[in-house]
Amino acid sequence: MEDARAIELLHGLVAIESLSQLEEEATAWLVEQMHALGYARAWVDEAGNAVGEIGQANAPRVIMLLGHIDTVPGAIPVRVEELATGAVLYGRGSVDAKGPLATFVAAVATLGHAWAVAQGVRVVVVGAVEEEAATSKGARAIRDRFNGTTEPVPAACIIGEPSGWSRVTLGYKGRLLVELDAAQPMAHTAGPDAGIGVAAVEFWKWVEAEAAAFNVGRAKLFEQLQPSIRRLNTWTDGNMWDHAEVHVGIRLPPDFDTSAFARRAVAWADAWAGGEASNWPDLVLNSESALNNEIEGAGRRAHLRFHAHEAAWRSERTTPIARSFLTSIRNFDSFAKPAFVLKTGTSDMNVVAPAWRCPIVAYGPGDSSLDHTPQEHLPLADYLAAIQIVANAVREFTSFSA
Amino acid sequence: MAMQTASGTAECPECFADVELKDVMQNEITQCPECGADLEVVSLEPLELALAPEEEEDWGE
Repeated sequence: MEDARAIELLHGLVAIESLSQLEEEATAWLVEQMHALGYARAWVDEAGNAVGEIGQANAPRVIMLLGHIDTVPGAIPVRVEELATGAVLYGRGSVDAKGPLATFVAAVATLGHAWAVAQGVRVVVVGAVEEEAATSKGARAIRDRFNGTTEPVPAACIIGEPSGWSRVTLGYKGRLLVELDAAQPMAHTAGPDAGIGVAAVEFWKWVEAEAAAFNVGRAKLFEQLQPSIRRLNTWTDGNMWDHAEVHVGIRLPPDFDTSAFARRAVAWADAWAGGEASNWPDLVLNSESALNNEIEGAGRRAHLRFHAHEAAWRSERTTPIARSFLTSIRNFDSFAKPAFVLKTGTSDMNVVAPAWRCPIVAYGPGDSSLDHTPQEHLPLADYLAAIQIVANAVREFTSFSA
Repeated sequence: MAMQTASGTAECPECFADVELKDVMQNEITQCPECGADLEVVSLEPLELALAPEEEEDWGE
């Protein structure tokens, strides 16, 4: 594919706003592009994902390139600017993750349907919906479709997220969202009680202490428990109860026992409310549903909710797809210093990897420190390099696994 | 198409031990049995090992 056509693809995709749950215009446009680029099949699936394929539909080997098409909010005027380091494209999603998705679409167009048929491989590109919404609706639909029964489990998967053109992402931390609503009867602020807000502060301090104890001797971010406050609020309801609400997001390392943590959190809420001991001794968290726990004590109530749980996932450096990327990066630039990277965030890798257990990496051009920022931009040279690197990594993997 | 592989010995760049390699591929990552260093096969002819690319950590996705 010519560079100008590849840049046109990126520019067009970034220019269409596609907030989570509002991806329709972008997915329809991308499917049109896939048809125009010679994909054998392209459509919007039942979940709303843009899906394009090359190779025979019944080929036994599937290579999955799973990007996402939704972005977080933030209108950044889409434009190309010439910087001292070269041309860059500004726009929401240019890095996270329309840049990686356009890379996949262009790379697979470069490989071509005839190549895939000759290799006996089916290459699937997905622009998944709702990755940023913590529902991962699109990735869950793809995971469930390629379950080994309705469709083959992929032989390898590449997640479309920014790693930088010369690096390969091996893993993402997990995530748990915990929401506490603590309530007690309304009281005068000049009274002896320090107010309901203290409950939120005390719960946060308890979470911090949990993290500090867990993190002893753990130098690497990927191994640490990382809590953050996402919302903090107090109010009084119509029934004259004061409420303190705190939402805590926790980034999880691979070896953290989330259910045991949840039981301790319930015990904390029991103790605060003065309620009965928890009736949830077998509390088990999963990524598909929320768990709610109501505790009513003597003059206090607590509502504790756990949701959006994803376990951490870490791949090894020794998988054939990681090796294929190393070869491809070194072949592209013999002076490149490829590296592997572990991320503190969570991606659709956390959703599909535990089910598929196939060789998996994440790859894409762009600097992930620009994710979700007003300065989000992608160097076009990195994008063009990444297209070649993905195409050659898929070729390398295919010849390895033939 | 079968991938090219090689077998033989190569020196560990970390501890200089001779590392036995069997049917390794270009850019395959292996471990030195002497010092435990992760090594990358950077050449098949002649067999040559280098320290494997580093594992970095990034904030975000």
